[in-house]
Amino acid sequence: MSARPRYRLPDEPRPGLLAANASDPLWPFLGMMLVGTWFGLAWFAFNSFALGSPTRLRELALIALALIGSAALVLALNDALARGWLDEHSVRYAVLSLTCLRMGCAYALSVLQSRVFELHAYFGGGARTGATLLVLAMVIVKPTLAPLLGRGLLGVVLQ
Amino acid sequence: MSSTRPLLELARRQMQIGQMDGAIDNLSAYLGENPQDARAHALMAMCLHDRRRLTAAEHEARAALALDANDAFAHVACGQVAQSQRKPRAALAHFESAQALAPEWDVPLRQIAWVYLYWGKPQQAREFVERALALDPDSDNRALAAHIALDLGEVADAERAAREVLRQDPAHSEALTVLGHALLRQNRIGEARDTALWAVRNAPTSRAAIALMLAVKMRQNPLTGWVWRLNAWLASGSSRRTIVSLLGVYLAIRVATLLLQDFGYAPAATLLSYAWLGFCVYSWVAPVLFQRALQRELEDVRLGAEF
Repeated sequence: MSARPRYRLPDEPRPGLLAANASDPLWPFLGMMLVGTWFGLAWFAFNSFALGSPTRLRELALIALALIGSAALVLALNDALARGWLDEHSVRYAVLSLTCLRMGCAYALSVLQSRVFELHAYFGGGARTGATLLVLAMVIVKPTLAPLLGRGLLGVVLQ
Repeated sequence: MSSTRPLLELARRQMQIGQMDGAIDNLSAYLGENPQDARAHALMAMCLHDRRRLTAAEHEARAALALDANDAFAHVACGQVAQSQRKPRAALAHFESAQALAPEWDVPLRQIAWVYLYWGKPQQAREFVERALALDPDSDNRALAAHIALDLGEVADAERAAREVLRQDPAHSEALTVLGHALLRQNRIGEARDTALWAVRNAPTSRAAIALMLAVKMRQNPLTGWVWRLNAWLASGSSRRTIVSLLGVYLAIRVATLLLQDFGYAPAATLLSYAWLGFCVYSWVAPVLFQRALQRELEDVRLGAEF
């Protein structure tokens, strides 16, 4: 029996640098809420590539919707204030639409990536917990970058 | 070939009872002497896929297809690998090819239903599982139909269908997990726990069985039970419904906070904000910590490679 030729199977390669740094979409979701919109969306975009997500185009479209939609809403709210359709009191309620848009996009991104992440992790694609990055971003990145974004349109949309 | 033929038959039987490592061993010995056997390469791909060796599984599935492009079995193996590589379109293309090559075979249709179910399209999955059932009303197809019913929120139908499968095949892994989840959704926790124990005893390394046990333990724990109920309610339906529900709750809390401030109840508004924050942190952190602790506990259950 031992003299028989043995069939050789290829070894499993180690996950690549990109795949090894993919994370559970819960972390970018928390990053969006605790650090800023720009941070969470950038992390979601990175995750989409790292996971090799089959819904990448839809995910990138959601990221674009969150950014462009936020800018459009900020401009619309500003215009409504200038025209007197909203006052300082009622604008607090209207601003909730901005948060809802961002959160809706973040939830949708999270739902799309969670199935992909499950398969990725199950088949040993490598995964990194995002806790360390999230804490570092909250302690260092947010206080450093937030003032640089300013209080203009860009700052309001990205924060 | 005749002297190694029993190895192939043995590998097939080992696959049927879930002894994949043994099957890989025998298939390696068989393929050493018969490297041109497409079916053996496809079987090897399926075993390797089960053992989570995706690169080797892809290599074997491609070899099977290169040797016989008209083998439906090879297309099914390729489709399974593509699905696990997060390539649903490629997987569907392979399963559709297999279905065209073997129109009377139910497996490609069941696999298509799996792809749709996994990617959150249970209605489309039902269409294909019904076609598979029309060809062969076997346990696997009926268990998948039960699974789809559960995903669509038809809990009583899912329970009934799973019990029917279990009457004929009491150890059917998927039917057991569907039954367990259906019982859990109906708050029949004792019965769900017994079902989960049975499922884990039958298949100690099955991800679905372990997930069911986790769900039961989570539901039983007073700390995480209510989070489980909320998750189960949110998850029972389409992802769009889940997102709209979560946004609705958030919006209601924020509007209530603003209204309390406007009507001069600032301390109550602050209290509500902190309560909401506490709820959010708790609902994220508690289940994750609990699941990790339990997963570690369950990881101790491992079978030797020679089992």
